[in-house]
Amino acid sequence: VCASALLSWTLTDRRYSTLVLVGSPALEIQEATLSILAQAIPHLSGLHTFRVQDSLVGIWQGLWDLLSTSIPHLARLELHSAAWTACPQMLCALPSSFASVSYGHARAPPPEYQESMLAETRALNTFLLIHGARLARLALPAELAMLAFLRGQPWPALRALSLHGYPPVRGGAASSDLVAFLGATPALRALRVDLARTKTALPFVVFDPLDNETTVPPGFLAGLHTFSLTRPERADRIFHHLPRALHTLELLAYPRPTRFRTSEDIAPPPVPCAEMLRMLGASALPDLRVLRVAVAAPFDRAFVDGLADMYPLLEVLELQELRQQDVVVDAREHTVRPSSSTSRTCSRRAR
Amino acid sequence: MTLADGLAPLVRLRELRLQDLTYIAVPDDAVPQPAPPAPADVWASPFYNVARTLGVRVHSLRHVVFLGGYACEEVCRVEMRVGEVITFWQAPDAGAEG
Repeated sequence: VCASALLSWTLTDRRYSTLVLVGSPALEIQEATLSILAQAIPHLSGLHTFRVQDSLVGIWQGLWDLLSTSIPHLARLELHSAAWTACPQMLCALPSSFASVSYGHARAPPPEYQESMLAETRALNTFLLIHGARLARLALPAELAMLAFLRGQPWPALRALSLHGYPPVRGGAASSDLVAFLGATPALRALRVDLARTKTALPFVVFDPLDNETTVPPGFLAGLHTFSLTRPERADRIFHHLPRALHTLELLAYPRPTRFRTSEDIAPPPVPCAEMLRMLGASALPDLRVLRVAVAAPFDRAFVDGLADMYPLLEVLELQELRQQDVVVDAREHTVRPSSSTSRTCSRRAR
Repeated sequence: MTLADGLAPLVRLRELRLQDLTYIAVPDDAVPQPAPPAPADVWASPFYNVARTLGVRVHSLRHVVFLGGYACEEVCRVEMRVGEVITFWQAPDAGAEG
């Protein structure tokens, strides 16, 4: 009751532009929430983003009806739940104004994910076929986005593509599918590939160096402004296709160094400084303004000199130095222990 | 030769973020340090010396951010203008990731 009252009071402010809904397992709470939303949402004239961060199975149909009929100005929809796959036809009834969709899993896929993925892929196919041509932003789990259904369809309005989650599990033509997809995105400005850790150290490349069949069309990634990739591989041919006018380049860790890691997760060795320089050297990016890069310890001065030579117009620089295991978290005991003597030294000196 | 020397050619660099960099953990004494006007345990940090030197050598630099990787609980941030440290504070979540 208190939560409902608070929500009702909060929604009296009509200036909200973003609404984030986190699910509750209690159906009565979900229904009360839906009732309040039904009254408030039509008056939220500035609302353009709706984010569902958890499963709301009990009111999913009602929620969708509300979105479809009451928010004609909705521009952005973020779904972090697999519940909608039970009724993919809902996706066909989205307001005509929306230009962005983000879909993903809030938690790690369950063991039976391989089975459920098929249903999700089918639903996603339907959605993308209907709405893909007018989408401006798209964020998808990489394990789904790599599939062949992304090929053969134009994406004239797409400006931002984010692939996140887990590395593709079907391998094979995954890279060529992605390259073909990118070739059909003439307006693409931002490409982010942010993969999570996994129990198998699958190498991931955007553009497979062994793929000699896929050809890139003229103007491939020509308008790209931002490119972000976790765990870059030197062999990735994508570095030969980054446009000279690229503004932001992020080649960070996989997994990122400040994330907690479990002992079961495999952290591939970080890229040494010299190898990172060679990787960066594959692209001529004289206009680069923002660079965020992670390299293996030890960090050296030659690396800094190399960056200064290649990117004289840099305005923002982030340097991360990684070890194979900076912090190991024992998932059973929830304890954190530093595994690097260097980290301990830095800690003392910083005090 | 210091990190500041290496970055000096970057005449437009305005923000530098460093995480877990053992290279900069060595105090940089290339620039004389003033008497600390703040609690000694903060101003004596080698990070402060490094940041101040960077501010002198890289004139465009306005922010130096030491991310949390140096230690799980340690995050330092320095804001500066042409060789002068304006403020120094610690932000526990500045480098946190999900």
